[in-house]
Amino acid sequence: MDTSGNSLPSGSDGSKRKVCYFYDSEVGNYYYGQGHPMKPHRMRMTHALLTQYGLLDHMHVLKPNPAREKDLCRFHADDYVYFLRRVTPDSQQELLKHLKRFNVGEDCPVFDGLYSFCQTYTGGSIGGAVKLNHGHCDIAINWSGGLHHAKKCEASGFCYVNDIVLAILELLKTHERVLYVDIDIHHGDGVEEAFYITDRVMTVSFHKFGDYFPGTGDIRDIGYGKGKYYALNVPLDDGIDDESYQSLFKPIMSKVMEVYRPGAVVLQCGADSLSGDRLGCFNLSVKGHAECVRFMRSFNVPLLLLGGGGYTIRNVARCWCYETSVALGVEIEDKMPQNEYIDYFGPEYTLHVAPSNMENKNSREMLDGIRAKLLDYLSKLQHAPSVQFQDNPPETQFSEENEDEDNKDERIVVDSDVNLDYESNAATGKAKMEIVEPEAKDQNDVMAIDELAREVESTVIDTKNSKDSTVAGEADGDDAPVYQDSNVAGEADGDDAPAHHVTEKSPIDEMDQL
Amino acid sequence: MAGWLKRVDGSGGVQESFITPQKFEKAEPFFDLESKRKLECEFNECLEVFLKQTSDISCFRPLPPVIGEGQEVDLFKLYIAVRKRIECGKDEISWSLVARDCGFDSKLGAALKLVYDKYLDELNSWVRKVVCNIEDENIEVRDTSVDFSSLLVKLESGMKEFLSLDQVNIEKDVDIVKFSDDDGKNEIMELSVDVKSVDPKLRDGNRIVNANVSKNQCGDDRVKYEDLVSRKRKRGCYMGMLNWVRKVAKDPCDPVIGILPQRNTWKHYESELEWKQILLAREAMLLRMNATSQQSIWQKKQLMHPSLYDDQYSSEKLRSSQRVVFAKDSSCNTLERLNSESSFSDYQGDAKRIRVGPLFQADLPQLLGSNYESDSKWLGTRIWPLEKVEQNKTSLIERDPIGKGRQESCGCQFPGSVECVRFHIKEKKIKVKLELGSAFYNWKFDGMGEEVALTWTKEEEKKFEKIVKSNRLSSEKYFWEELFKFFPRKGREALVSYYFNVFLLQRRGKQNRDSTLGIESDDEESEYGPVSNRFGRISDISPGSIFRSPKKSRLN
Repeated sequence: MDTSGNSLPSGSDGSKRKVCYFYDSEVGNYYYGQGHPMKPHRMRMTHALLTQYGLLDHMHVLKPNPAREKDLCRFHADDYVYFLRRVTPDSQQELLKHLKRFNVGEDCPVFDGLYSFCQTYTGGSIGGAVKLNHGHCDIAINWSGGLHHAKKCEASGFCYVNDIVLAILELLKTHERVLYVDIDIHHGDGVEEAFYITDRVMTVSFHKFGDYFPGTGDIRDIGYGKGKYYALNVPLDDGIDDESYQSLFKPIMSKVMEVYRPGAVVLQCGADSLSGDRLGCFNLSVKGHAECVRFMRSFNVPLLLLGGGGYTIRNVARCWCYETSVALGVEIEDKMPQNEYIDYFGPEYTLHVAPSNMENKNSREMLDGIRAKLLDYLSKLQHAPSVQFQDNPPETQFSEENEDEDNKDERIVVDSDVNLDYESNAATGKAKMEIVEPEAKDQNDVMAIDELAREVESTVIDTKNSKDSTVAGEADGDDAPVYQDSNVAGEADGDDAPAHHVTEKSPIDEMDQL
Repeated sequence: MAGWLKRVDGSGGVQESFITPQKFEKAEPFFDLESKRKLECEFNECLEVFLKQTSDISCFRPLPPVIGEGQEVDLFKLYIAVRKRIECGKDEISWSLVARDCGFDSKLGAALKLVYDKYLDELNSWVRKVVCNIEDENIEVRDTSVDFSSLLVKLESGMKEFLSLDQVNIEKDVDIVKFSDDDGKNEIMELSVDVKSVDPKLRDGNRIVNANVSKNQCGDDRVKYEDLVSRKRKRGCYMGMLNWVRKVAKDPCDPVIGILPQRNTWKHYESELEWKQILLAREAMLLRMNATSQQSIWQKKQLMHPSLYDDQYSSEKLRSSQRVVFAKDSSCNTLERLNSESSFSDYQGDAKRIRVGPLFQADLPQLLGSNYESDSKWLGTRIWPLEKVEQNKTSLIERDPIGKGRQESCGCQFPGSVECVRFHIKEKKIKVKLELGSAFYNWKFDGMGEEVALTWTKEEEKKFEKIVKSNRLSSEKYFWEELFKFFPRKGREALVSYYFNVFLLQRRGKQNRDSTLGIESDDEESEYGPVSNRFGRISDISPGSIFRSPKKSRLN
């Protein structure tokens, strides 16, 4: 697996991250019902495995506090949340009409403890976002979260409360832009829909498309209005293997990170894209799946890792355990340590299992086409945002590029970003890549980038590499600046003025849009 | 409105107030509404008498005539449209244009011609003949006459007056009609043009939804569309209903719409309610369409979103099935999709779309920057690392290096046997217990794995196994109900815990060790049937369910 793309100085991305992990010991006992493939027990299996591998030693483990009704209402409709709180298996007959209205009952059954289950997993995800916001950690993990299908007013696909949306809303309080990446086999429709018309959240979903739940996620769906080009969909076909998957994931995500420059990344790690999943039809290995985590981690941007689908539970535990180790930056042995659930992992008793020999229906031609199309979208997005990180852009430079209203609007927003990033930059000097990067690019321009690129191994996206090496260099001198509280405080101070600037400006942007 | 409802209920006579000559509103400056209506009444009167006199049993002509997908033909409109052309001296009448004038698709021209021939052609020649005779013979018409010919004369003179005034508008008129003619979107536009076609459209809920969605998403179209509506109709009487239908189409689950009562309780509601008017109208349409067939319309397919009904009929989930339909439609070649641009007109209805509106998107918070504060509860309760005091106690223990796996071999007599594995798990657990200190209990490690069985008696375990296995033989049984009955004191949580921590684990353990058993899966459902609700089973899976996944060979 090629990991050179965004490696940190130590070469194999070895530098440590501070990791917070949310786990509630009760979560394993929630039960969707007889034969229902969604089994919260998998989180308990994951936890046991992590513990026996000794991974917990190296992170902060937190028990989430449950989210309250008003927290859930930050995204969801009041009546829907009220319904979730009220409904029980015994009362559901009386609430029949509401069951239908909220799409509860079939895929999303009413089970004992449903509401407290929602509170728990949502508490973990929002908690993770808060931890990242405070700079308490670099990576926050909540394997019980990631229920990406839930909509504002209805449940869908085993998901009741959309913890991802709520977590992103929390991240948006301190980050101008948040990137959401979804590697569940199902389209991340709930999150995409919630942020479909905004450019403050970019959603990228890799999923099986065509005669498959939930039916959305066409490559041509790219967002709307202000959010146009800020939703990307990567439709895939049955049997995709690690190599094919990464041939899309890496170039696309590199470009997204380069162009969008999010302040934080949320990665939904649905494990139903693994080979042999009960509901899935992809052919990814645990390593291939975890490569996505490794890759997103390498950008050194605050990262929230969430669970999601995953219905062959032994593989889910394998996957999330391994991905936790990837987040920590440690290698774990293939032979599983003795653990409470070892018999679930037989007869191999190993962490990694070979993918199947199923046919990969994703032809080279198709993959190339998808990649080209998405990079094309991204270039359109770049068109305006390339302006983004220049300070005081000369007006004349853009008058000709200002082809349509859309671009104009984007540019206005973007200009305010520039100020924010630049000023906070000046205040904090260096810290996170998010801030360092623009500086490098602003001053050096294309020439400088080319120069840098020569020093690094050139790949498809050369600007990407050059940027990374710059970052790497910056980060090198200051071993772990991100972890230090003082640094975080400084950064926050720097944000102060521009933050006001942005808040003041946003209503105007809205009016422009109208 | 009352007249319309009356008509719809089937108690009304001929057309009467039902026909509102909307199209002529454009001629308003030239021909006032009142006299137009009068003319229309005269026409209807003539027609009624005429048909009564001419029709016999062998040649029954129902009123109003129906063409296409059950659209009613407004004979008055049709008559005017044709007369206009005859007056113009056109030899050949373009029936497709006539159809447009009457608010139909131009494809229905031929059908209209037939209707004209059957109903109106003869009438027309009668009128002409009578009028000619009267003019030729200069017979005075008595005002009070109820004589048919005098009726005809009166009608004819009114008609002539009308046509002469309307002639000026004929060109303009056609232009406006063209507006609604570009394919695809004209579905919804027709809907606004002629109220009568609301019902046929309703039958095809999908189309309205799609058109609406696409309209919603293309702002420009919307403007054009609204514009059109305002030009087409100034009368507001149907607008409320149309808006209602539109609202339902956009979002059937909108709480504003609420839940519609069951059909048999409709009569308790006032007829002013929009939903009732619409549903009654629809019912009438369907009854007429299905007049020949004996089947009750309520045995047929549901026509509106099931969530609109507070009843038990909605076993067919229309919305769900749409998912599948759309998904199938869109499973066309990916490369094809790649090459087509994402314009809303080019593939509306092609796939399930993301919805846009306040009911779907999140409200974004303001960027707080350094003012960011959070409820400290979000930070959760720290379980690990342990507090300093406890840390000192546990830190003395020798730990395995991080990420360490299993030992290659062990000294047990039968490595890999159940006993061997149990021993090593126990061994590891004791070690972990020392390492974790209080966290061991915080994470409920004492409730993980086979250890859970320690609180169970042998008899209980046997009974548990028996109940679950009996479920295998009879697909009607839900073993959870049985379990609850048999272990009333254990509680749901304890049973679920035993099921995952002991029962499934042991079964898998046996399969791992006995090659003759074959590994079925750790997934209970491979044995215990498909989906269930709570602890019981759901009988069928709706087409839009996430459970519907393409057939694939099961691995393992």
